[in-house]
Amino acid sequence: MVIYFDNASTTPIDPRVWKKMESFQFEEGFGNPSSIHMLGIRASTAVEEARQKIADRVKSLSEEVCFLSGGSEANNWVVQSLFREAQARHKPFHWATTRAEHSSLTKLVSWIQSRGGNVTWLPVDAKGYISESYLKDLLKKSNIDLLSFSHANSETGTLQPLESLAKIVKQSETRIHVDACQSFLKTEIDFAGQNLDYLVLSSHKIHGPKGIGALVMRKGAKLKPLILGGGQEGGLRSGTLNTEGIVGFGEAVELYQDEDRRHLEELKKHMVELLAVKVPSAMPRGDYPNGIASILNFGIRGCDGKKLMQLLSRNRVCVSTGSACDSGSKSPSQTLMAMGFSEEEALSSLRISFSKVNNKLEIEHFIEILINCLKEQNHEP
Amino acid sequence: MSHKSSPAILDLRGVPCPQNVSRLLLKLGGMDSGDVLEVVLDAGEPYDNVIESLKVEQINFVEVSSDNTKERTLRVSVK
Repeated sequence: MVIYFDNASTTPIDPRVWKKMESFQFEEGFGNPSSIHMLGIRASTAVEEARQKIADRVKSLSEEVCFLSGGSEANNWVVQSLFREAQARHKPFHWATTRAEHSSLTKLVSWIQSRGGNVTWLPVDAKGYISESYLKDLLKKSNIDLLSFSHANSETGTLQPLESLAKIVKQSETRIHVDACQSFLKTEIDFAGQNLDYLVLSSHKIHGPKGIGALVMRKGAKLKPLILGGGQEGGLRSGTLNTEGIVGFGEAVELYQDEDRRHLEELKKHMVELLAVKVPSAMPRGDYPNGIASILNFGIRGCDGKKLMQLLSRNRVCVSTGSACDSGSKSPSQTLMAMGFSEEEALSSLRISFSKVNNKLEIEHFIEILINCLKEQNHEP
Repeated sequence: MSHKSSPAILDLRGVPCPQNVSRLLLKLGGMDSGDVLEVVLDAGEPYDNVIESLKVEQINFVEVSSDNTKERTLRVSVK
């Protein structure tokens, strides 16, 4: 048995999602959704149905949902597109983000700066929250074109107070770009009510297929196209639509229930309670119990997180030391460093991330294996 | 005395084929029997494709007269 606690990296496809996807690969389901014959209309209708399901969950209009390959593409599109628009109008571009973001955002910083754009790093506190007072001051002093941040941090699970941040930002001309890949369906998002401009969603974090995601764009904040061609997605993102991926995404959204959220909360509570008793050296990061229920980050002082992860893997337990896109990196987590942890503390961290298919028994087995691994490394649990 | 509410309106102007057909079919799928939907379409190919699909699906519709040469309006009845 494999214990898979790396669901913030990716989740297994729900078999019901896979079944639905299969029906759009063969026989009468494989049509190109841009074709105007019956197979095209069938595919197109399935795409539109999925679009509506996603829009309903984030309280946006269906025509504000644009399908693309996933979170990294969406984050790059928003930032690069707005920067290029400013450049084309010979206007300065000022972007604000935090050092605690996913690398698909932080790596854009040097891209922007090397082309003459201005970037301000917003500080986060020890729990990972953006400093609201700093943000207020910044918006008073500077014309910020775009503010980008993750709703739920992919490493610590810290959940930014979207409503309160959006209220601050909406007193200015700044556009708000929220990466909700980790939080989508695990907490409420009100795209229209919270006055967001761009919202990034991913399918494979919610038991849907990989390689498909969505960028929700406010009607009045449409971006310039990134890919030109056949005019798909309202001309914003050309290329034949990934029908089975989109259908799978829609199905995964439909299948995600409130009870799945409650299940995640129970799993996290169980893990934290067991850690406190059996592995008292484990120090939770972020803002337990207020963060997203699917992610728990903790450090064990003096322990090499990467070695511990490898040892756990040899014992058929899959966890992570950070975001999947950064897990090949030897440097300490920039997220934890931004929160004020030392390099040693950051390197001692493990990220546990749950999904609806995990159970309490797995947590109990994990704790036993973790204790054995720590002892093997001469660490007191 | 019966009270007839005004029909729902679905504006599909600017929506390419066959997305316009798909959105119309999904909208109709969510309506009750006897409901009426007014659909505004771009004239030309989008209009032609939509009425072809309505015929294939055996959905009743009438064209609402309009002098506007750029757009056409259909009144569709849900069975």
